[in-house]
Amino acid sequence: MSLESEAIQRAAAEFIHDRHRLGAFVNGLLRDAHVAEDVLQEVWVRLAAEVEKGTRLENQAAWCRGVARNLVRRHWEQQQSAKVVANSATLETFLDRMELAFAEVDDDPEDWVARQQALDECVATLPERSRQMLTLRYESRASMDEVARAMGQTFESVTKTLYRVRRALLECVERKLSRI
Amino acid sequence: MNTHRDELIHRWREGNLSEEELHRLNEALTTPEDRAAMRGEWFLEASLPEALRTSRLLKVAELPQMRKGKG
Repeated sequence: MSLESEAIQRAAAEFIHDRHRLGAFVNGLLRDAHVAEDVLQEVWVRLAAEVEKGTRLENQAAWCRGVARNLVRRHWEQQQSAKVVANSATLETFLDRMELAFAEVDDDPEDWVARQQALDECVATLPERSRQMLTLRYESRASMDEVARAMGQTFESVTKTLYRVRRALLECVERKLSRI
Repeated sequence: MNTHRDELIHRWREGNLSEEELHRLNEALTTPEDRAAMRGEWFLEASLPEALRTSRLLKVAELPQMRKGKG
């Protein structure tokens, strides 16, 4: 195997391992799973091209976040109806804060894997109705109005319940991680 | 729990944040603990679909064992 293809394989392995964390960063900024997926794919294409050129990346996760940030900014600039002001200093500060937030766990990539496993277990213990509501909102990507209609509840009631379930899940994950 | 920060995080997620509120969110994300809270929210947002699918698989995997247990 050539040195070049070995380097690509190493980069691919690290990219796959870090994919969920990078995905959370991109999805959190964009709030659109489909566009986030496109951005992730583009990051990988650019990473592979960089490695092929022979560039050695000190911190691949940080490099990928930087590329993702630029792609997200470009997406915002192209969106006529974007609710955020793409070139504002406030937004740049926000991007800085969130890049830092994810950089703060760069030295513990396993934390993300443990978190996902803990969340899987926590979701499995939820009452069926809460899981139904989450499935509508986060898998089927239904609007809050649609969730309310499907569940036979008011918009306010669904908002409060989802907020409460999310808090309970986050606390459950933290409890499980603190026992490891 | 910081309700002011959590409310701003929630509003960012829903896409309802004004520039002034984004400025306030930036101010609310100056400590590692606050940023960890935001990271946790984004983790949940990105990971929930997979966790929901996994929980359904776990239920299906439990069924044959439950039937075996009954027999």
